Amino acid sequence: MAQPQALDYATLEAAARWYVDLRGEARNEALHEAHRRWLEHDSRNVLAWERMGRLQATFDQAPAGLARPALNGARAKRREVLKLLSLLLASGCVGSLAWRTTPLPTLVADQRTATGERRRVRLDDGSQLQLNTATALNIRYSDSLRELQLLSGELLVETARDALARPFVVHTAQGSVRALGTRFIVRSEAGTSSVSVQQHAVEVRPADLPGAVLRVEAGQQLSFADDRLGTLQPAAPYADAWTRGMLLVSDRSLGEFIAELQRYRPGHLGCDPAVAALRISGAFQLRDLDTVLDNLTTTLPVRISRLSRYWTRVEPA
Amino acid sequence: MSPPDLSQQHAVHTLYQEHHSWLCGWLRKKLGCVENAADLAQDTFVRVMTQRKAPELREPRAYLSTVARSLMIDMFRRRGLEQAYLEALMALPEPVDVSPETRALIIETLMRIDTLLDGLGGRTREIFLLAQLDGLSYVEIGRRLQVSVNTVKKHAVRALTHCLLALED
Repeated sequence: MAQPQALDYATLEAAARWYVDLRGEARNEALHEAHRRWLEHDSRNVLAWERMGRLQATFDQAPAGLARPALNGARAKRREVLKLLSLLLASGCVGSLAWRTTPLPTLVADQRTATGERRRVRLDDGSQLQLNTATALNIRYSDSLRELQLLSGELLVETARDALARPFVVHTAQGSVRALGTRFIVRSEAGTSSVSVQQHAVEVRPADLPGAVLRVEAGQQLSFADDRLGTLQPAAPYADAWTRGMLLVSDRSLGEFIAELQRYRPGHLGCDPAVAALRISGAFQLRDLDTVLDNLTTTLPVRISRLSRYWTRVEPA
Repeated sequence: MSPPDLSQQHAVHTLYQEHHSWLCGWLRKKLGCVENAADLAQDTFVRVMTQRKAPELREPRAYLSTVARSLMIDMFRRRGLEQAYLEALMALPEPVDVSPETRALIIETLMRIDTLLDGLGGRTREIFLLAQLDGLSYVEIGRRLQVSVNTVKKHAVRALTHCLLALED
């Protein structure tokens, strides 16, 4: 989502003054030359002038001869609140057709998984989603776009070919991921999002970096924040193991591993800094995390301290 | 043991679960219509989501009703404009046939313009509309309103700047 450039009042006012001065002066070469110099003087002037173009375009769409009476008529009406209320009452539910044509995006569905839960979702166009633990998303399909909004958690997307050829885009708090292929994983965490591509490619656009875009190919992964693109990395092997109820790690620190397990398990799961740097590799069943934790004590010099069902900590043995 | 930070969107989701039916009830009381209330409630949450602003969680219902109220204002605005547009159409010397699609597009355009003009003084607004919509020259406008061309231009610059500022998104 490109952020609008913040233009200050003086720049916009200058653009407005140029517009007014140039109006009806099509043949005034000197004035046009001065205007060109003004544009070249500062890139913000160009942006302000472009915005002026958009404003002009809006007015150009208004029906000649009718727009001003309609706008003035509506304004006069608005002053008479009572009249307006009676208009509303008279129109009732059935007469609300114009209001219904509002091109507001329509919320088609909400999907959510609890901690430790996974779910498959089939979308209208045949695309398949797999939601990992503690994941929430909104699905918005319109005539021109297929959009998912990943609110939290992790999502594997397998896009289907769309009869309407609508782009498929996953939005996170940090930016958007546009599918150029069929299979990828998007994950949203506090402050960062990441994408791991399994087939074909995606394009990533951070929310607050207008114009920035990076293509991530199959076998690559990328982390990004709203104002920063990370560097392309080889995708972690078996990044989609969770879809089969497994967690595969290869030479990770115990601290990272425990943080990953925490996602799948309700309650607090902590790791003592004294053992956080220990290395760990292996394949683990997500469905029985307490056993996974207990087994750690046989391979690493740690013990599991359980204060209650919802408070567990990995400590030095 | 602090709970994980809820992202703002997560907060929106919670907001939806906890307050959606309350908002429907609130709107129903305002509008006296179940169907409109349900639509407006849905659009309120869509608006909250697309605004990407952290909801004021201390007063979630005040926040939601503020958003819903602005959507209600949009609804009133749209109905008023549609009515006024139809009246302007009927006032034409020759009957004009406008398809429902075209009409919807025109109403959208009028909505945009009307919103842009919010807050402009009556004279500035009229001068601006005569220039932008009716295509009158500044000289003609000055003659019609009995003011100098410079005054007309000043009003036009003020109105344009106002609209440019409002056009930010």
